[in-house]
Amino acid sequence: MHKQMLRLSAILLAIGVILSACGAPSAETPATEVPAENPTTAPEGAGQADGGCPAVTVANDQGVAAGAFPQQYDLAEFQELAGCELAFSENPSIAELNARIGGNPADLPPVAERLPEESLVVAPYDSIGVYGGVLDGLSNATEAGTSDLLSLRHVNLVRYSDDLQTIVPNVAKGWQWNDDFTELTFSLRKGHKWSDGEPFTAEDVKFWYDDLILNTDIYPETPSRWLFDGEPMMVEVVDETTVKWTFPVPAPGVLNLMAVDYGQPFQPKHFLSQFHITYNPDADALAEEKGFENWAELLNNYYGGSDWKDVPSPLIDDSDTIVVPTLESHILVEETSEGRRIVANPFFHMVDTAGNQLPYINEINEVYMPDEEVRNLKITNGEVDYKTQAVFIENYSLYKENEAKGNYTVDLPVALGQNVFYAFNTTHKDEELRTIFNDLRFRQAMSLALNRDEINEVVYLGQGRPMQATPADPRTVTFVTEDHLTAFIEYDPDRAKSLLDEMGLVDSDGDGFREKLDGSPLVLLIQYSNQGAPVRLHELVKDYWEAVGIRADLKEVTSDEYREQANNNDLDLTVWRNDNTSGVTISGNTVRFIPPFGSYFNPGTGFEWDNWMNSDGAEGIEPPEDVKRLYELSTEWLQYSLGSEESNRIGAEIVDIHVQNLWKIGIVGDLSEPVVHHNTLANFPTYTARSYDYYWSYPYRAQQWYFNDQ
Amino acid sequence: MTILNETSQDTSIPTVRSGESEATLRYYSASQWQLIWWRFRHHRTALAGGIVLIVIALAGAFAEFLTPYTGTTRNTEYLLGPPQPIRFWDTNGFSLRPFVHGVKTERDPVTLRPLPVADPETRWYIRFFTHGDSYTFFGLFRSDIHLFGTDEGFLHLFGTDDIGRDVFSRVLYAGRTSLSIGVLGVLIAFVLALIIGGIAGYFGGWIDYIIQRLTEIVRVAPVIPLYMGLAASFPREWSTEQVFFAMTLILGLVGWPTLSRRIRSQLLTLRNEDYVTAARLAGAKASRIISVHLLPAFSSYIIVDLVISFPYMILSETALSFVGLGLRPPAISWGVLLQEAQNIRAIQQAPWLFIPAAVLVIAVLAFTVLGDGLRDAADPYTVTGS
Repeated sequence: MHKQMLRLSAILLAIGVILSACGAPSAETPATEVPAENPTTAPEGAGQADGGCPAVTVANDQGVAAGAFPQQYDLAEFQELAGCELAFSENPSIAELNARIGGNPADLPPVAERLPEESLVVAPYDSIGVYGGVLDGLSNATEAGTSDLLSLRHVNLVRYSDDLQTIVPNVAKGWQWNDDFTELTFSLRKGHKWSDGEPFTAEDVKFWYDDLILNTDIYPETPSRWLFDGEPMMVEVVDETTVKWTFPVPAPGVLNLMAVDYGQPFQPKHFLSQFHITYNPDADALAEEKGFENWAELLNNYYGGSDWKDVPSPLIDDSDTIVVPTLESHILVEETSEGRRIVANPFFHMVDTAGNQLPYINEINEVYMPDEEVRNLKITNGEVDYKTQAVFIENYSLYKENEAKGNYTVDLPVALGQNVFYAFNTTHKDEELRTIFNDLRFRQAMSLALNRDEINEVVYLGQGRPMQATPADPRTVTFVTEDHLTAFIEYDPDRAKSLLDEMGLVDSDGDGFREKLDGSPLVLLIQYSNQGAPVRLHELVKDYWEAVGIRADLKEVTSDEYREQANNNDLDLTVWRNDNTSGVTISGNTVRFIPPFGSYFNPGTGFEWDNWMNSDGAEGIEPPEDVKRLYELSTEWLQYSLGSEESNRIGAEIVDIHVQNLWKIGIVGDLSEPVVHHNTLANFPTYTARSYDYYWSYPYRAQQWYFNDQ
Repeated sequence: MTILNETSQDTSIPTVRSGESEATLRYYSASQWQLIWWRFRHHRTALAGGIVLIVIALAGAFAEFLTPYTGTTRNTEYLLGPPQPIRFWDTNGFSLRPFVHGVKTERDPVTLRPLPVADPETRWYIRFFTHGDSYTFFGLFRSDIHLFGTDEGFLHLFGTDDIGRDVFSRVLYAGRTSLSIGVLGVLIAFVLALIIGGIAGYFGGWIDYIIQRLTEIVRVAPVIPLYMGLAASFPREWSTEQVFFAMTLILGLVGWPTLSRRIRSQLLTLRNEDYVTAARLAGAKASRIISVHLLPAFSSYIIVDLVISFPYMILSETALSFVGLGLRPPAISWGVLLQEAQNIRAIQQAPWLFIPAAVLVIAVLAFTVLGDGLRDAADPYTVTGS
């Protein structure tokens, strides 16, 4: 026992040291000066670049007219508008970085040959940047809280501009809809190359859909958002740079989906086909040779078995030194259980308006840090260059007070999908609990028991608004009414108690807590991840529920454990932020409308209902009529453009059903949440909104961020 | 001059005449316990330690009455509020009745942090025997009388935590939990040690051999992983009280080996004494010999050992709860309080959340000096250094 005494005193001592360290004046952190741009590595700072093109920025357009899309141009378009010829230059350390990319050719072709003939010219926000630097970022753990840093290097066919309303080209050069939204034609960039220098063509799009998404060895069940009224689309290669998607039903939301979804509708056929049985009849033998069961398992070792690209790569277990080539701005070169290093892609398709190939930043250093307090310490010490995900408003004061000391800035933009939900498991494996959770009175009582005003003050610094959870974020659509948002949000513990009494949940043994209908103890186990919601919130909710006689225990788990258990239908209730509910997301993806009311990453409830629907009644539990109606409505919903009269009518009915049933009990909405960036990180815009729904920083063009102290 | 020196002088003069001799007489007729107490009294630090412990124990026992709030009452108007100083005077003059200044909480417009602003113009007077949160006292009667409190406003002597709970009240409630875990844990360990050490020491031989090997097994088991495993196996339906007793039991079950070894070695020495042989020849049973003849011979030693193991028990509980394996909220123990304070917000914005640590240190120190004093006093017949 002596050991524990030592341990405790060590902890106390450590606290003392931290205290004194915090108390000490931070004289050693002078305000960072912005050094003059280094002439040897920096391209032209402003004005005329080599090719004589004006260095257009968002802040100063240098008299050059705007192109077809805000803040960016096609190369030809830019040269015409600016009346100049753009000369390209590259990152001076690109050869070094290239040498670290497994499988890349040792000798890089000149930059002009690496860029597509039809490069995407982007206007930096404030100034032409400087190459170099390592961006230090934090994630919670492998596949937990990682999408934040993924969004920095992410690309897709299209993108939302930072106004979050305009869809602009990215990998695709342009797109064309037919009149009834059943045909979508993308034109790609001529000469666009994968990160290993191989050409990227329309075939890669077809390969992604026909050979991966629709292949039942890779996806036993096709991801629902890539099906349209249950049917696949048809992908047709028109020519090398043109690909046409034909949908069985109108699918106007697909383009939105493309702008915000993590899934990339293109995969390197030249690389992955070597493992694919359709292209390589010896793939099974190859798999066996490498120690895998079959070709699909081998392919998944590279591809990840999902279109979620953040699965462990072959680097983590040394099964290969090569990762799947990418079109993103950075590519993975090292991966361990502690973190990852990601370096600039020498074949990236963007240049700034001075002709410098992007990205400016050499490398991303991603460190896994599961402990929230350690993350907070690193942020307040200024050891983190950028952080958006899993930082919450409850710590805003802390971040703000340490801004000067850590030489960083914390903004508080509007945040979408932050309303935390508690969803009782209506298809619980335990029959007794299932009966209780399925009783609407129980869910109503649990909602009425919560003092949302107090939660707003204590957890959300008084900045939010008590609000019921709706499957559509009220700030992004018009069909969510005030009645929806205020349903059952009043604090009325007496009514909650009488509803529970009415159900027959009474405290028969006098311990202050109600028992189940069969008299055995009723204990809710709230398992939560600190990524999903502020931890204090659960403590308050537990208090409120216990005050009306429903005992609840708390248990913190990692996001991975949480998701695994939730998707295995093992939880009493799920709790997370109600994200992916903004108009853009739901317009192309109805996963929030139907059970389990969320994706793998963020499920709600009703797994067995979904199971029943998918198996045509062979398995699972038959859902109530309301749920069946939701399936019909969702199919219908996808066929109308967001904002149209029909879309609003269907949306309103969906929200009605959700709010009446309180499958998800919402807490506080209309929130803002912090975005942290180091002061040396330049070209960092003020965020219009902080949201996973717009894929974190994807709209804010991390490729043109740079370090002004390089 | 020690008592013993006095005695040795006095024994040469058998008659009783002076006042000094009355003391001698008292000394002769005093029981062993009185002798211990006399000597202990002179050990000032130990005495002080004992008094501190009694105060902490009483404070814990009567926590409901002594605290202005229950340990779980939230005051959302004073989140993460600093301790409110008690005043007798301010710019408006002197007051016999102590008071605190009124506080209004506003949000800092930049950092959004709730900032309590004291208003020197308003006084919240502290009153005694005020009505407040109701509580059940020892499960006997309900009351809402608190020793002190305020009629208007609120009173947080040690400040509040980030959901507005009164730290002073929580420290007192926590003291009760932590001390009772210590006491119960020590008692369990003590009984086990007596039985196991007694048997091993008295019988010796192969019985002793087996028991010693078992003791070693318990001793080499790494404690923290053992706790982790046991704590994880608590069923989740268990109430806070059940977890509390289970914790106590665990602490007791792994806490006996040291004491048991000491008892064993003492017994091994003593069992060869003549009086033990005499008792055995007289036909006394083993249990009687151990309990009547052997154990009292070193009872003082056992007491000291017990007192010294209290802080280890309390620290074990604290350490376990601190790392999240022991008691869980809403149970309040010093460990739980420290566990809740282990975040950067507390360290940077609310150092008063570490007051429980100070109280813990005081309690542990008190136990240590008390044990020290008891050790000196335990054997009143020995000659001390002077």
